[in-house]
Amino acid sequence: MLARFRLAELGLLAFPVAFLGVGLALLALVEQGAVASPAELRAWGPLLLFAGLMLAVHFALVARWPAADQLVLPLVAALSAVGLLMVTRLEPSLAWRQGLWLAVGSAALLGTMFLLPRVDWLARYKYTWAALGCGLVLTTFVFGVDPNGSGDRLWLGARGVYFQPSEVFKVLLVVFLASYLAERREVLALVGRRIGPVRLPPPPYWLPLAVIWLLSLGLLVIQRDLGAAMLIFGIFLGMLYAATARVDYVAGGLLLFALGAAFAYEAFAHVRDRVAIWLDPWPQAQDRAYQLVQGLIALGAGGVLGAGLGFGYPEYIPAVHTDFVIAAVGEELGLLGSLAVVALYLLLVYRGFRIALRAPEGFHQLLAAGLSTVLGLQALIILGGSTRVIPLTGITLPFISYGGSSLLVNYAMVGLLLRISAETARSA
Amino acid sequence: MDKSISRLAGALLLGFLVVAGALGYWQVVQADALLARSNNPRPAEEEARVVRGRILDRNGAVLADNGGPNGARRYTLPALLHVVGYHSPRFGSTGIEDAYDAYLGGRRAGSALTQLGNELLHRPPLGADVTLTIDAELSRVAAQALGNSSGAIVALDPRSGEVLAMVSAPYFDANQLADRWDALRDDPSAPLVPRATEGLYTPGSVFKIVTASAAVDLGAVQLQGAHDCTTDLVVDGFRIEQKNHPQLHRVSFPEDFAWSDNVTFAKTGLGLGGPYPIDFDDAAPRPYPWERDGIAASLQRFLDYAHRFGFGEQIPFDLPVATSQISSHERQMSRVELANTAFGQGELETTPLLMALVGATVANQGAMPAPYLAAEIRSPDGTVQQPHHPGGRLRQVVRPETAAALTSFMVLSVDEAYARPAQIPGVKVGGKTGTAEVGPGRTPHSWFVGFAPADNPRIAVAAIMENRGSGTDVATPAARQVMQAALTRPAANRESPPPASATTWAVGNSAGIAPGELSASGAYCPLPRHG
Repeated sequence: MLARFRLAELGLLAFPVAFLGVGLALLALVEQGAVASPAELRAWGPLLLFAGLMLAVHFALVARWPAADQLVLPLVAALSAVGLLMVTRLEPSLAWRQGLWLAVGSAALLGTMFLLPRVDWLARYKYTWAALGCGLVLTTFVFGVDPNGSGDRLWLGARGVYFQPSEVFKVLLVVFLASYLAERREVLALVGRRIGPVRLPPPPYWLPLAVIWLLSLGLLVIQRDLGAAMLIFGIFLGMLYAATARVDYVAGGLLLFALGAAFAYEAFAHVRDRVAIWLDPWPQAQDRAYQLVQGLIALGAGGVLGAGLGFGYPEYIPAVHTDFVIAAVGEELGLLGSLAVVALYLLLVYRGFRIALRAPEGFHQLLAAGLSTVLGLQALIILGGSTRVIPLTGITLPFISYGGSSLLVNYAMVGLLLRISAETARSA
Repeated sequence: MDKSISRLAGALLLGFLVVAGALGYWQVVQADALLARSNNPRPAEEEARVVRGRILDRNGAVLADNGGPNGARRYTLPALLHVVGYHSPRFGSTGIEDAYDAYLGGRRAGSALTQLGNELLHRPPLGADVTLTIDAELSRVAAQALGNSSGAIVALDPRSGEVLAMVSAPYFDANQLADRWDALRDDPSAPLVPRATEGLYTPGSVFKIVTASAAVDLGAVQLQGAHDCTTDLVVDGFRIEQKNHPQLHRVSFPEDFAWSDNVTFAKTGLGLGGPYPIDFDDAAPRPYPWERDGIAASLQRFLDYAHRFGFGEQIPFDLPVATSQISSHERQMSRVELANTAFGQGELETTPLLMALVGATVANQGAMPAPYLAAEIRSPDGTVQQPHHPGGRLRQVVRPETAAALTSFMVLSVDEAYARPAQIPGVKVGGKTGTAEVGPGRTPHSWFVGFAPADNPRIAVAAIMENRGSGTDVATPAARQVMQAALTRPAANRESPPPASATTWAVGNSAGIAPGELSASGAYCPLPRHG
């Protein structure tokens, strides 16, 4: 029973660690012409920390959840290694903090797995989660602060400790929707009351829909957080479809979102700006479309093979280490590097859905599918925004972007996914 | 529910494929277009990484290096602005900085192996040093000789083609380019224009060197014997005044040259078509041959020699050279125009560089030297390239005997006539003055073309000073200062002239017709066009 020792996971973890080690060595060579002496633990600290964290999670899994999926952790580790390397490259002063946030994230992963009595337990308190989530968002509407001067009050907190409530909200939403939809799947799948030619869906459909629609519009209008609005509405539609297989519900939801978006477009200048920049960034390349155009130029500068780590000029892109990491990856590691990142997300999402498909019917399935949707959709929104597939919105690239609340929540979500896969295996 | 979950997964995976496609689009398909955008900071960044090579004069004096604030480009001698040029990310590049940018900027410095190594290891390329033929000290003298005048002085070694001094005025300090750009651009005296190579001037009487060379080379004039020369010439109603040597009434052709007689040179141009010798005497039988037979043959021979001397031709050089013109409608010139052009007026336009080459041609036994500025390119890896061969020739323009005759004319001019201010004690000097009319009510341009020592020329000079009047009084003493200084410099005191190499211009006459045979055979080979 070698599977008990999770050797596949252990072996695969060697790659992200080696990648980070080689990458940090390259950066040291580029900057100082020599790999720092071993005495300078500072330069190698993040690598040791990273390797230690991943091994700690691995051994914790071996000890407690040997049957959990073995690919998820290496994939997450690979993305985190890219993130740590790029933060070291772009903002060396933040490298240690990113390392510490990875430690907090790993703790959140293990904490979620160990502290949760059973996955079912989450379903029991669904209205608590819903209320908590709404409360958080509403509180941000009122008390939101802007600690780093981005112009948008998306944070909660005080005295140096801040977090983005929308990050927490997305998980609470997934948990709530998974239990709510699992409970009412049959009811929802039924045909609603007819009024004349219009077939109304049953109230359990439109009630939460209305609430979430309002909340996401609120995010869009009050917070100017287009990315979070898209993410939250996307999660809702995706999970609704997964639960009911009803295309008309999704279509109805999309219609509502389109109406809301059209209203926002008409009513709010900042929404119009975003769309105008998306449609034609070139005339505004020196002012409002500066970030996007510089990001695209960086991608072009990378070409297929990239300029080489440390040899590009991604520092010309504003917020490159939070929103635009993919452009830095594309410039310095080339199309090969950026496609590798996309492939890692693709595999992670695929693995998440595989867990969902293997999980017992109902809550487990929907929860795993919802978590995978969150990770995938969030990556898609920022990747699509950076490559001008969709309008650009400020949202973090999971596991890669610098940022504490994002890493913490994403790692906790991975903990949930692993826990679901572990319970599936146990019950099987 | 499995089916709907699979479909949801499929939708997300499809999204990733779209993003992957978009990445490919930007990173491969659109890459070149994106990099060409003006707001791409990378070219400037790459440029800033390069340690640009220095520009040195022939004695190793630094003309341009990176010793400015923050490693900025620093220029040491403003007088050489129009040779050295400037290199600016904002205002572009000019001069040697532009012409040898690939070497100075390191893109072509060193061996292919060095370049590949730099690229693989991401080492910023080191630029190559470019050593010029220019003598900084002599250039200072030339700038002083120009004084406050607009104009240019070009001095070169007629044996080798090395340009020793080339100063265009007004010039400015390129270190202040950024601060003064708007003022420089709008300055009516056009300090941005490199006059020596791109200024086009009416040559006036210095062009008589070309006309006289044609006449002697063709055997059209008698060098001995004198003729009466006191009356004006009227060509188709246009009066050419007899005014240049009032104290002499009977003169020889060399004296006509030395005293710059317009009537004789108008007759020379009109009479190149024969019969020979041209009768310059006041009492020559009428009608004149050109009145009887037309000027087709004269015009053809005149144009042929002017082209041989580089008029209407692209001059190969390290810097861009404006093409001098004989006329805007050479083949349709009238008798009046030919007469005026033959003594240097009409629609003639020439660069100071070309006039220096005309002087150097006479000094170099009738062969026009190939002029050049870049002597040596030394890469940081030790590779040394010589972009030019000293002693290269553009063309054997006239026979050596013709050049010898012209030399004697020019010596006569300096010894006894208008070019007397060019005299240097103990040195035989050849020269020709010019006072180029530039329109009614405007002071003429002052010109001098000459060389020294006349019996073994080591320096050939052209000087033009705009709107300063008489060539004798202004440009000639200025050029004399430069020649005198040049003869004390090490470059002039090399004994053996550099070895001659093949001509640069593949010239019709070297392919069968020797200069001087033209009149005998009556055949003209078309001159090749360059450029």
